[in-house]
Amino acid sequence: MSARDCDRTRELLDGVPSTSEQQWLQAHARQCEHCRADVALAALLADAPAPAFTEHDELADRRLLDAVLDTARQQHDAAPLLQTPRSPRRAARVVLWAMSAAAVLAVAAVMVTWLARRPAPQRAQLYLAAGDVRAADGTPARVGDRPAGRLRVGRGQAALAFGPAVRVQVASDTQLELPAAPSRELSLRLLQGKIVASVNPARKVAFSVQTAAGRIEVSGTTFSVRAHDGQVTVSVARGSVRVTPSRGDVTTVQRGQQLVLGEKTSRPLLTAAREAIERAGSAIDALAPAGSSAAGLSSVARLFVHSTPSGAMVRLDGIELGRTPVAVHARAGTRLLEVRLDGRQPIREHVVLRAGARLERDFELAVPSASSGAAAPAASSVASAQPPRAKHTRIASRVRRARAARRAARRARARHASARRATHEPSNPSRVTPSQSPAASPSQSPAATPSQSPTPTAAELLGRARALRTARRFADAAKVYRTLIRRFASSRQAASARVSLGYLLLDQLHQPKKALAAFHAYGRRGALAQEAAYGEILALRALGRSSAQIAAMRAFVKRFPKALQRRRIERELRKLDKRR
Amino acid sequence: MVVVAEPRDDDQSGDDDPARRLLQRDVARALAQVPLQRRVPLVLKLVYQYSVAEIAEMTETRENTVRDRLQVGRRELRKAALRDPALRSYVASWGVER
Repeated sequence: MSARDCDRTRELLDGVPSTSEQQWLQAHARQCEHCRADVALAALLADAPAPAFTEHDELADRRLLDAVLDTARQQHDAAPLLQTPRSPRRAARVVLWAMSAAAVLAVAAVMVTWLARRPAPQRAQLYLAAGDVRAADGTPARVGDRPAGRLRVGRGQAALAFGPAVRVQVASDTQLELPAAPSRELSLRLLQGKIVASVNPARKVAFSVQTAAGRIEVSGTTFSVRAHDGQVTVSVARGSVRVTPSRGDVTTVQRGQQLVLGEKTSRPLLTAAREAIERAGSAIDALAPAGSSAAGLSSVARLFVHSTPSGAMVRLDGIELGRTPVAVHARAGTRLLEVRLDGRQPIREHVVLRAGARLERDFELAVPSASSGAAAPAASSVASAQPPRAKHTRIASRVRRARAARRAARRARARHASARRATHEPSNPSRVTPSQSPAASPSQSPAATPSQSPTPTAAELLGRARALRTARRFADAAKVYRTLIRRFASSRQAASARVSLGYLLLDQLHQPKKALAAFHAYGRRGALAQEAAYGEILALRALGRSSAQIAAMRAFVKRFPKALQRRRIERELRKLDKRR
Repeated sequence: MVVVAEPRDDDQSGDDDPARRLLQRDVARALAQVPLQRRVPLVLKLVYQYSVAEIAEMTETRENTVRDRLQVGRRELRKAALRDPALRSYVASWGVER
């Protein structure tokens, strides 16, 4: 036994020891008192109860940490301060000291908890102002403003952030009233029109909407409120809200329900309406992710889009931002920007939004002519008016697209050549998807070679599927994933698409059998093998094939000992074994 | 006192050995004496079995900081645990048990 052995013990305890390392660890722990304590305590804590958390939840880790911190704080307050004293005099001294320390600590803990839990007074901040958005004094409201009092949205839309937890999308023809002074209470008064609110449940904040017909209170949900001619309708897409009508009893409206204030019972919400609210909610989250401080917005860039003529619909990653001119705070990163106006050539390009930076785009929307490519001269005419960084962005994005197209062309040539060799049949290069964007498809002659084919590349298809998924158009996204898998079966993107398709079928489209096939198709190797294997378990569980599920779980634990899901799976295995 | 977090209602994890449950409570009491800064990585490591890299990402600190906090935290936990007679005897008999 040496200091080196103790160091090794520490390293092994910090990592994930193999079986032989565990044996060594136990042998060493029997001899070394300090290490024995560490190993024994770790073994004791390893199967201590832990808080529940939702799988498949991106916020799970964050929530988990919050839960740990909360509990740790509670325990800190309740921690024993005294050990048994040895002599009466010392005991008295210790008790006196402890009592005063406890009093100070208790006061400090109460103060800290109160200060930490109590939200600072704040005002809502505009992070989207598209079209006619006016403050109380009639002046146009701009992104970054913190409006007080009345806010009017005419033809256009706006979005407000109430601290890091609440996002509210304001539809056109809406009037609302915001607190005149910074307030701790997150609330607004809806006078006329429609809002969609998204409240992050992990933040545990209360948000309320006051209307003429009553009050709607939430703590973590996505819902819409429409006030029209004195009638107020609350529709809940996720979570639940508590409604206190001006006259009548307090009611809770659950997910998928709709309530007209004043009526006693709620009615089911149409699927399409629920999807629309969820889409709006996810659009809000995508623009300014919950968790980013509305005031700092350090990971967020500002984007301004103008067009000639104005009034063109602007989409970012498939999410409708409204009609030009549009000013928006959007999450930094490479995003797909689309500008469309009926009767004009649409524009579609990738923009790189840098954190804290501002990007301005001005598009001239050309009338489509018989010969395509009108958008390109329009875009190039804008490029000269761009600041240098924006110009570089355009060039970089073109270079990326060109490289992707070359790679796809090479693969397509190889595939067509092998197909011709195998079947002795001529290839058909003129495949065009119905959903293909005109901007992405410079039209070619039917005799074009595959390298000039208008078929989108694997990367483009993957991007399209992801955008559709973000827009919650799950069935369309599944179709695009399938197209990608069919056309580029051996590509990296197709492999990734198989796993994505599996989870899409399982979680959103409720087709576990097809999901299982998608996970099987991924195979056992590759970067996403763990995700595929876990998906297989979930699919088998959904199908009720318990023996196959247990076998898959055992295989998973064996293959991926470091997986985050391992503990959960082992726990479930124990439960299933007990039942058997 | 709860162990390290509120147990879930449907939780059936761990064994139903009441003696072990009591020991877990004792070790939670000892854990409560570790300062918060070092308790968080300890809980994430010992209870949730996250890797050092994952803990670093979750707590937005560097991996070496996490390792350091784990090392000091373990020492503090050990000292606090060995003051408890029940835990002291558990640790002493641990090798024999196995």
